Amino acid sequence: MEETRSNGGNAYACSHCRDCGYNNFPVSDVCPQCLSLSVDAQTLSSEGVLYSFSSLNKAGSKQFVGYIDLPESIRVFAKLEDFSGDARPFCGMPVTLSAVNEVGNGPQFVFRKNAGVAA
Amino acid sequence: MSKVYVLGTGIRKFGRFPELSTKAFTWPVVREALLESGIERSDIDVAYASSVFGGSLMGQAVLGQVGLSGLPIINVEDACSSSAVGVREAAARIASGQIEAAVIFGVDMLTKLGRGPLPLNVDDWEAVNGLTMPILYAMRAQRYMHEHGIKASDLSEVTVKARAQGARNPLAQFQKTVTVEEVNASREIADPLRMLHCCPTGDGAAAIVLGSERLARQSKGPVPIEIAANIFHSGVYQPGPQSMTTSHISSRSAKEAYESAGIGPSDVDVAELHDSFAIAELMYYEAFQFCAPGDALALLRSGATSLGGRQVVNPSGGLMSRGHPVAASGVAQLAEITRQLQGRSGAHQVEGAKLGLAHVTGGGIMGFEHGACAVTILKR
Repeated sequence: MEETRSNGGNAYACSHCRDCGYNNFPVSDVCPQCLSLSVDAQTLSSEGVLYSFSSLNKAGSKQFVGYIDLPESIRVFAKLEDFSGDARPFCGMPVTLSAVNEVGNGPQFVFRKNAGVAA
Repeated sequence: MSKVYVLGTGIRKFGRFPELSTKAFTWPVVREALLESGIERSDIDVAYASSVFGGSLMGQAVLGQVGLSGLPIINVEDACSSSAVGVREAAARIASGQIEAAVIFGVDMLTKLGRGPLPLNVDDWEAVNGLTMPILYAMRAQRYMHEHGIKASDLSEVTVKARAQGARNPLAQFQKTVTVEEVNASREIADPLRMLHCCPTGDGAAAIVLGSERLARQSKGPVPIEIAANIFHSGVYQPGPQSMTTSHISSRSAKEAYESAGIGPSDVDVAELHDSFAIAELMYYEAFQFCAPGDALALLRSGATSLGGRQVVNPSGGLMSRGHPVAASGVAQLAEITRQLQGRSGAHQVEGAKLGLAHVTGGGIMGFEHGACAVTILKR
């Protein structure tokens, strides 16, 4: 049995299969498509598109969150910053990664809308 | 393959019963199903038990209270579909001739977990980042609104229907009607979903007895109801983009169930669909081809899916009003549809119903639309 390996500590990454090209997220040591162990951590694109969104409502505060579709054919769940009150995200909105936070069991991604995009 | 029948049903009022142990809460539904079936306990070949949050060996704990022990007891977990999976496995064994009768029950007592959304797997990256089932369905709702041009307040009409039907079902957790204004005024849980767009936290248990054609012919209980189709699928792993407004797993299961039963969507008189949140009922109208994509709100507003309509959906009140104690829901739906086809549903009876279906799906797990989905078609 192969031992599992670290993928280099790159928190904002998918695993990319060198044999079949399949991308997986979160990073894994095996390709679910072809079972190859020849997988590398590959940094994800910092720009994506907001597929849909909702909010985390806690103690009177409202944090928008959403699914971001990235060019690597990966969808990530992320926080959306700079939205409150009448400034709302919208489906199809271009977004850019603004932070990768380390929180407990895994990284947390934060995105903001691209400059020049009207809310 | 031999035919399989529902011979007995047991279900208790859903609600909040924190003073009861799960064992004490559940044995009455198993007893009811056994007595209704009219068959001897010694005729039960195997039992399937489900409880997502109740702990291990729930089957042995409950069935021991009604003198069913020593037989194979199989405890099954597949999130919201858990007890429906037990039904599928039992039905397959009866159909193959391996066994003649089985009892299946499901129970969860969510009040023992406290309030708020159900806990997801602590190793799930999305759950660690705050994703909950309400947020997942809220994102489905947001995208559906974007694609089909409906408003958040339109979702409230689903709740109004669910509560109106639940108010006529004495076993439902909620017994009062609500207005659109009351739903819209309820607390926001996850934009755009409000509290009354969500199924409640509650306790529930249900059981059914399945049997062979030979046992059905001997039945002295209510008219046996045939299982005309029984389809189960697990979700497909997909870490990349996929539609959140078209339910792939439910659409596939529905299509295969119709083909297996030799019927079409318009043949269904009554359905219990997995309306865990208001948007879900609209999405599943489309998955079951009760209407075209984008037409679900119009179908709801037509009254076709309300009591008195041509194709009644969730006459029990559904998960939104009867309640959704996870592992209980699959069998509870089948008990409901069985009684509908037997004409025993009182104030929420769908008159003349001959063909019904039950649909349960769910499980929040990263990379999957849903963990598992079961569709069962019953006919009188």
